[in-house]
Amino acid sequence: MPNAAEREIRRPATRDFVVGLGRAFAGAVIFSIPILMTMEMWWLGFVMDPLRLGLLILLTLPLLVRLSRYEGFRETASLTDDIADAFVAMLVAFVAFLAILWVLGVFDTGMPVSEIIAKTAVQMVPGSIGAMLAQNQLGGGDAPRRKPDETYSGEIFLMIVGALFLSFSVAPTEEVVLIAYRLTALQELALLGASLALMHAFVYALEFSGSAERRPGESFLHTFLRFTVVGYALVFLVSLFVLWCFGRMDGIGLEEILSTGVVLSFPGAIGASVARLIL
Amino acid sequence: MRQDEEADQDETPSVTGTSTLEWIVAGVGVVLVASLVVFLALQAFTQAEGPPVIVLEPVGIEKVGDHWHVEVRVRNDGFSTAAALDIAGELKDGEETVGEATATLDYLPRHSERKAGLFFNQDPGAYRLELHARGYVEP
Repeated sequence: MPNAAEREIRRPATRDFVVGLGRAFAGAVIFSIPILMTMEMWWLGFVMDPLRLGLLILLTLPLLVRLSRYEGFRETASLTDDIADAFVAMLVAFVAFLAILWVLGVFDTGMPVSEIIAKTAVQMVPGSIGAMLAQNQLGGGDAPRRKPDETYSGEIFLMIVGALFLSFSVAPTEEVVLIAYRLTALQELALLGASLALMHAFVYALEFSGSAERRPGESFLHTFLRFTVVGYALVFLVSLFVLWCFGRMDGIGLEEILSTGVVLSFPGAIGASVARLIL
Repeated sequence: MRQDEEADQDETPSVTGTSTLEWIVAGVGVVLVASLVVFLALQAFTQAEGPPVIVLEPVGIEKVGDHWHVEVRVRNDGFSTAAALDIAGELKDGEETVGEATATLDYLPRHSERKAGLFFNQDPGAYRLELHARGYVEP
């Protein structure tokens, strides 16, 4: 970490950490309130296969660690700090959502503990990402931190995070499947095209702050293939993974799986491009 | 480098180490995540298979307006979740059915119980009350 070596590593203050915890809590709640109040998300607590839920939680960890480098509660000096932050984010999200779901009356008497735990654990996944994002998006007077380096893998990583986050909140709803049933193949093709176009336009054409510019000497086609098409492919895979986790693929024909994937990739694509803009 | 100096003047911490308190909180997080994963894995491997086993039990009868309300506790002792679970209550006078009421539960997860209510036009106390589950779909 050349940056860390050059700079002095500050002694951590307890107050900073407590403020960080508060911000993480705020981030978890703000980013997750729509799904905290979604019935299908509660149902996942007993419908979802426990192994897939466990896998999802395990896969979220490295994602949080890497995200902590870009965003996180503070500018971290080493990998161990990022790991610490990742676990803190998960803990904050779990405790916060346990309390919120209880206040919202989601937990009935007569509900076994395993169901309460699973209901909270599903929500913890996007919640911990929200907690990680809090600092950068809601941080105080500090100048907004920019990612340390804009590498290709970094951009791709951010797209995956954005896609995961947005498709996670849409995938449990019945509407995704319903839309997939109703769309004809031609409409799905159009939706795929629209997702690609939006993804590209959001990042390159609309000149939002944080927009990327095509590098000099790089043709439209080059950028389009390098970022947008590759990005969409990843968004599609993320969508399939989320659908699989939620058991939305079980016993479904391949054609219907693909069309559900295209439908879910629409919010995923928007999430991916927005992540590149704001993170 | 220039930026770093400015940042220091602003007393904006550029790189912060991890405090003992944070290590403790992170440690609790590790315990939480590890126990969640172990718990879920245990659940996955120890879970028995089988259809939902629905047990119905009347817990109270009350006159509400022109109707009689029977509160029913519905329990699933089985190992799988029932969705759109239909339950029915019949009032029997000997072999003859004199009253009938049904209710549908959106979901009844394994090893869980929910409460439902059935409305009858006759006093259930005067007849024999039979409760049964009629059908469900897999979630």
